[in-house]
Amino acid sequence: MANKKPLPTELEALFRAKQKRRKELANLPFEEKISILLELQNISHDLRSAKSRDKHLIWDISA
Amino acid sequence: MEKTLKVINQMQKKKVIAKYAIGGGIAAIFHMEPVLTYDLDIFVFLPQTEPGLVTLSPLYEFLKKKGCQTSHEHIIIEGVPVQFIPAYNQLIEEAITQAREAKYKRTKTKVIRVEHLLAIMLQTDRPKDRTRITQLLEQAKINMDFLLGIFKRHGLLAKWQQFRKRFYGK
Repeated sequence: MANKKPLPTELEALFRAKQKRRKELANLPFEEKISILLELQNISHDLRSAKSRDKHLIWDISA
Repeated sequence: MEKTLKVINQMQKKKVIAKYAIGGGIAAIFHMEPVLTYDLDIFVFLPQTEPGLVTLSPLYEFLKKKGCQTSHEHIIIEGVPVQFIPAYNQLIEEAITQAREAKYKRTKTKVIRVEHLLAIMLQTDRPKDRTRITQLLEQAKINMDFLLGIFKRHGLLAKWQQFRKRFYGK
């Protein structure tokens, strides 16, 4: 396998920040994560509607 | 989702299902960052109606009496598309038996342990499983000894080594 080129420092910092954010999200309470899931479902639903693609059933709850 | 879990707990209390645990994407979300998923997978032990016979019919009948509608492979419980998956191998049986207790708001439930979830995903091995495995390895708190024990018991060690070589080069 070819050696990977080192990333520019700015990019490394960006990836580290993203990873940190993901870990923070992973540590949120379950209820908050489900609220975020509902937002994701709505965003995905709107995008799919705009493209007239098959739509999934989105959850009909208030989280 | 709390109302959905209450209905499922009621099913267990009324012995429509014997034991259950949340699996799939929602179990992944329990252990890591939220990711897009549309269904609530419930792994279940079903009560045997006749020796050796396991059927989902009583479960669907119970839910239909409550006014739940079906949609493709799901049944909609309190607004959430739920898929009931009977324990289909020893790994799933172990995962249900050893699932950890959790709470959603004020309602108790059971969620598959992250180590079992990883093993199930490794066994299922779809592209989305491989993505979630890498996410879980980065974000979740994993007991590596326990995980390796599961891999050994269920013949997944070679597959795990292949996975590590492919995604981590070791």
